[in-house]
Amino acid sequence: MIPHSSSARTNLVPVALAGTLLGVPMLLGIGYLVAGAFGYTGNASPSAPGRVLTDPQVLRSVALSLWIATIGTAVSLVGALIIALCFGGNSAVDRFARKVSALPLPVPTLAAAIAVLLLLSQSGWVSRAGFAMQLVSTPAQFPALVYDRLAIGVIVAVVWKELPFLALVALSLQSLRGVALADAARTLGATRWQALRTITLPLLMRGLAPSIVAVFVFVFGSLELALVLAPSSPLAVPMLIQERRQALDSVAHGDAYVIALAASAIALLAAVLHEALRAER
Amino acid sequence: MRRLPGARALAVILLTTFALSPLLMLLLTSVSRAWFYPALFSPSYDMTAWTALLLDASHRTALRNSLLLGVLTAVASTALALPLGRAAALSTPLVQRTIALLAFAAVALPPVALGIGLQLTVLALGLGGSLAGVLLAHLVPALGYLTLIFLGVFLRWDTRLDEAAATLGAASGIRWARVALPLLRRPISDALALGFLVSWSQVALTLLVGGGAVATLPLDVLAMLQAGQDQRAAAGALALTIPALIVLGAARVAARNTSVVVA
Amino acid sequence: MRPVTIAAHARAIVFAMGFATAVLSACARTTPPPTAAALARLPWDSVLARARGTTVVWRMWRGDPAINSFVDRWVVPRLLSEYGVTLRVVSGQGNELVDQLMVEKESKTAAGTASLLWINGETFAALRTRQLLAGPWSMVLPAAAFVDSASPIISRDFEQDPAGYESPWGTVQLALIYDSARTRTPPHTVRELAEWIRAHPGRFTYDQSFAGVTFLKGLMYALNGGVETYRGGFDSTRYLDGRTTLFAWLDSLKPSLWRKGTQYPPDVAALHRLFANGEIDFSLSNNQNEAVTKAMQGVLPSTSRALVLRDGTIANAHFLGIPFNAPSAAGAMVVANFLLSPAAQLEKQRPTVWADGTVLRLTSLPAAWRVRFDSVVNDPRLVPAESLRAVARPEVSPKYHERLQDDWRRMIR
Repeated sequence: MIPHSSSARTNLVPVALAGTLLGVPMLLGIGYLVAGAFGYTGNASPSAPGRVLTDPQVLRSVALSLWIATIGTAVSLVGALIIALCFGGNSAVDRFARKVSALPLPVPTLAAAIAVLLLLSQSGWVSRAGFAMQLVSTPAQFPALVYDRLAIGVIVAVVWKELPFLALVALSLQSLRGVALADAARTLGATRWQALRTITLPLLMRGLAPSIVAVFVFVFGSLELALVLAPSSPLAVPMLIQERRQALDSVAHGDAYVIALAASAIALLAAVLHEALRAER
Repeated sequence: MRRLPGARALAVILLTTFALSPLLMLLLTSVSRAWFYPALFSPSYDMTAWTALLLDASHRTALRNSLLLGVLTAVASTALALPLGRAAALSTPLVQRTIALLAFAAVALPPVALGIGLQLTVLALGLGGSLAGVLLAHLVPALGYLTLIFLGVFLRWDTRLDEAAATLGAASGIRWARVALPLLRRPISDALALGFLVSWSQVALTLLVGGGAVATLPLDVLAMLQAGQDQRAAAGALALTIPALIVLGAARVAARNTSVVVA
Repeated sequence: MRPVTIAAHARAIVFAMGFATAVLSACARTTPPPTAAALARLPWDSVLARARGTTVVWRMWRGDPAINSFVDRWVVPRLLSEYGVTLRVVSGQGNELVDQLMVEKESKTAAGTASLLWINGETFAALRTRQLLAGPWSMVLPAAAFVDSASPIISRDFEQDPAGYESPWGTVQLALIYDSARTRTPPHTVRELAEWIRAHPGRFTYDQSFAGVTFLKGLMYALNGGVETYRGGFDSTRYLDGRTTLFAWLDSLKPSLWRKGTQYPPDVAALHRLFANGEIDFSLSNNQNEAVTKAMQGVLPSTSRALVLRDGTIANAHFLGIPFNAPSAAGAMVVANFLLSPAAQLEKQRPTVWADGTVLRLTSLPAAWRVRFDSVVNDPRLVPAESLRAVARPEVSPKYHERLQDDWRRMIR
């Protein structure tokens, strides 16, 4: 931080403020989840967590959600880096590319998911284009991207929404710090590729690290994406929680709390990781 | 980067197609009737979905709720996050990191999970199924998101201007109004826009905490999709998107602010 | 801003939040309004008088724009002009209603928000066991005299006796939907269906939601000696035997289903989408007339037709209930009675509106009404009423539905 006159002191006021406004609703929410998970509300038993967390169906759901989050984030990252590195300049083309790549940013996830459903289902627009070009003659010949175990449809929707976000971060990092250092390396004799590999990329990756965690955890927990595009087997974690929660019997209700708690634990781990990375930069 | 005009041109075309095609698809679907495989273009067009969206009483309620929640969330979360972010920036590293952690956790928690807990909280407060309860729920991620933003703003704050004004004898109120506020105008407008968007696009929290009784535009869109009314769902999805584009365009989100903090 | 100002702000905010919460919670506690059971003991004119000028909040499923349109544009204005009742509709179904009412009961909220609920089956069972419904009241409605209470579909709600705690509103029957342009010779029995599926691999599936489970239940009856096997409450042994036969039948067909039976569409809307776009050749609906209504809306191809399997398909009724803490039970009773009127039942049954079956005994109506109903029921695009009646099978204990749904999710999906 740019020099400030007063030395930092342990001020309890911000703690109290943060505690009330941020902490209390979340802690209350998590508290109720814990109570429900261990059976203090409703009829679920204290042994529920053990049973639910070793259920193969639940584990498969977690695996699917982790898969979607990992691949989606990875592809978005690669795309964002390409945009930052190729279109970081000042030409008209560069500025146009940056503007167009920012278009999906404010689009709500639900709208994005619906659009992808209409485009990429086996009878969607892309498939119909394939039909018109005589590449496929029935919907079944088009690859199954939606309602499928590999969840490629979900991943495409993720990339559409998150690549612009990561690109925005990468571009700003580059404009803040990257260009000057890379140029300096070049004048000292490094090739373009060497400058990229040893200076620019590491710089970008370190700066992007917290954003990557944020994107990952957001995708993992997104209900809209799962509702519209995800497969039925395995069910994505948010859908699994919803399904169990909507059951009229209280044992299933209890299961929903346990899974929600587990998903929250993953999110909190990500929060810790994010904080460690944020302060590290 | 070495200039390969052909490759770059192709990349820009692909990028533009990728960015625009979902929006175009929604637009086409919103005016198309009975548009089935393998028709590449619709056999018939009409504006019934759009007129229903704008004229139906139930949609108007949903739109009104969405706007109300959005504006209230934006104002309340900005008003709360600004002092919180500043206080965090001025505190010891431990306090700062704890607050940043809490703020990020509020955004990171899967809305379905957070929603279950918040629903019980809101029911216990007697606000179940009410707009007030849903507002409380929206405030959680909005506050978290904006606190991180203001934390970043104040971490990079140059206090020398403030100190110079102080040495010249300006009172704290004047310093606040004449030095700090103008510099904060941009971050505040960004925060208002982002706070609005967090509430405006919210699905899971509204669904769970509202108990189905609070109608918002995203929930209406979801309902239409689940009723098989694709034409109306697409119109609704665009209706959901256009204000978002406007709000963000109006605030002109600064790349610098969002990156250093939300990153 | 100095720290002390922040502290002052923080205190103010916390105080304001606490105050607002206290005020809002206090507003929820008022003196208890008259219950539906009490009102049922009064003459009907008295109920009408008490209903005039009140607002009735009706929680119902708002997922179908056609139904919403019927309620918002036809029912609401007439209730206001003819009875002085303001009807306000709010979304809500299933466990959402149970949760809300449970909390209101536990916190001793005297007057809730909703006065009328659209319910049936499992939801009715859940509300009854937790004593969240007011009653008995439905038998005193003047229109109740015209209800076809001899019909097993209407006199029982998933085998439960409404016992005056819910008033019937409409009936539906499960049907398959096919495209007459694509499928010239559709199957008419369960056996023919299995043969068709094997002959056309990848062209049939069913959804994960209520309609899909209802379809499976119908299959279970047909494969196990008919619905009589399952009457008389839930029997675990009979259920397990039935499930074994059904799941064996499904397993034998699995490789011939859409996506080889590894994936299933999430709801009926997704199923309709697959069907309309030619990914599969059949869709399902809990409402036998949906093929026609959705074709009119441009959601299904105009050549779509409904088909009921000769082995029987499940028919059930849906009802209206009044919560124990309804703020306007009189208004709710008036609404329920209005919805039972021949005019409202007829309008609801029009294919252009909703095509939902009537609960009235048509023979008890004056000739003029009978003629009007006939013309609507005998629309050539719909499945003939006699065919429907012949294969209609009533619902049995809701526990069969619950268990089948759970087991299907665990073992088949």
